[in-house]
Amino acid sequence: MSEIKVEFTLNDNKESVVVPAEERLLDTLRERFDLTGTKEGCGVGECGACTVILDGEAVNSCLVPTAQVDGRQVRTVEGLAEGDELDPLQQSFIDHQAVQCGFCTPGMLMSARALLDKNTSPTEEEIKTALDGNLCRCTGYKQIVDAVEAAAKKEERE
Amino acid sequence: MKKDISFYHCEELDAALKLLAEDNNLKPIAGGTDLMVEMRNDENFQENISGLLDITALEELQGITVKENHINIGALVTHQEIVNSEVLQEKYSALVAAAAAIGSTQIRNRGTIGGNVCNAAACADTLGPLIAFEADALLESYAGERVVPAADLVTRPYQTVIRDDELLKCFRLPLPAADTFSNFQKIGRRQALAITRISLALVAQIADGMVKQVKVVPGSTTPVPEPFAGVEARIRDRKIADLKPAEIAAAASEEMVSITGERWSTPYKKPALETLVTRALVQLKEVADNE
Ligand code: FES
Ligand code: FES
Repeated sequence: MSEIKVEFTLNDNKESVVVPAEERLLDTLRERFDLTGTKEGCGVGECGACTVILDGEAVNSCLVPTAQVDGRQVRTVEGLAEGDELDPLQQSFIDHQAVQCGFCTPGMLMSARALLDKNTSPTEEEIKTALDGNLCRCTGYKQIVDAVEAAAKKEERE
Repeated sequence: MKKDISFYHCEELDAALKLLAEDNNLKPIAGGTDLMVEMRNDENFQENISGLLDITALEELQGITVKENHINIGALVTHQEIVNSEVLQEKYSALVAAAAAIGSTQIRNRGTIGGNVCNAAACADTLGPLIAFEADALLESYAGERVVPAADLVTRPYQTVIRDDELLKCFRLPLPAADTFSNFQKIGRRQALAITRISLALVAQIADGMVKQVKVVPGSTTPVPEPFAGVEARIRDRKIADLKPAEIAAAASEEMVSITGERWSTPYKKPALETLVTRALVQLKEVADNE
């Protein structure tokens, strides 16, 4: 009786799952949909490795019960590229050497994507605020901020 | 194996209140930013509740509405909505600053003002400004509505007067007088580093270079945020040009110690609070100078 049916849009596909009340969106994505791009770091909303976009907003999927996403839109890092074509942010992270171990990268990309979807020409300050919930232990934030800035400029030109 | 719990999603306030009246082990959930952490950290959390009640769709708890003499902030209004709200920026800047200083973008996108206060951690940053702006909380149960001043909402850390069968519907903030200065200060931003995140809300009504009314509410310095009456008395009815920030700051830390006694954290908290009081008063003086 405590199995909840949830229908939602995941990376533009209609999906339906049955989950227990307490299941986290993070686990649903990784375990039921094999979308392992979304990472678990801290599990308590501190690191941002699990960031996905929910109805246009960056959220920590470790803090969202899947039962709450019924009828809503979820986008994960797997939904960024179109076929073989990388999202401009992904290409820019590569070009700016903004990736080392890569663990934080999916979360960084989703936070940055949520920002650029709303604000096509963010200031450096706005980029830093958008990434304030994403920790990186390797790269240093400069390359990451540069990568987002360059991707924003590129998207604006196109 | 953890106990099975149920999950209810309500679209109507009445239906939600009825469920709460029937089962007081039902736990309301909004943004989940505190609750999901609690659920993970507390082994027995699931044992102690019967289910989750998703309140995010309840219209009566949403939105920021301007009325003739006051403004309503729904319990479900997220920190980010507060940050983005033009009327709040204009009239309640200390509250906006408190919301902006919370957690991270992801947390601000999901976390709500109602949850922040209901959870009643000593570091619930928005409570200080709500008290300073003399907000009332509207609580509703199946039996009816009651109004509690924000200052009386939290009785001790993690404990509020909100009953298990009640929902916090919204905060009602009186419109501030025209010449109102408000300021929020905070030390320690990331939760990861949060032993304590001392904050300060100051709201002052000024006229002819004088402070007419003032509220000074530090956060995370006392078990529950409360106005510092002694400090307020040193500011009220005085000329702003004559205010001595360092002296008033010292009085603030003394007032803190008179409430909490000397604790292990006092040597840190005293200078921290003094810094915040000084900063807020210096800004008040700057604003007055520019008038
Ligand atoms: S795993 Fe979700 S914020 Fe760290
Ligand atoms: S690249 Fe390793 S954590 Fe960011």
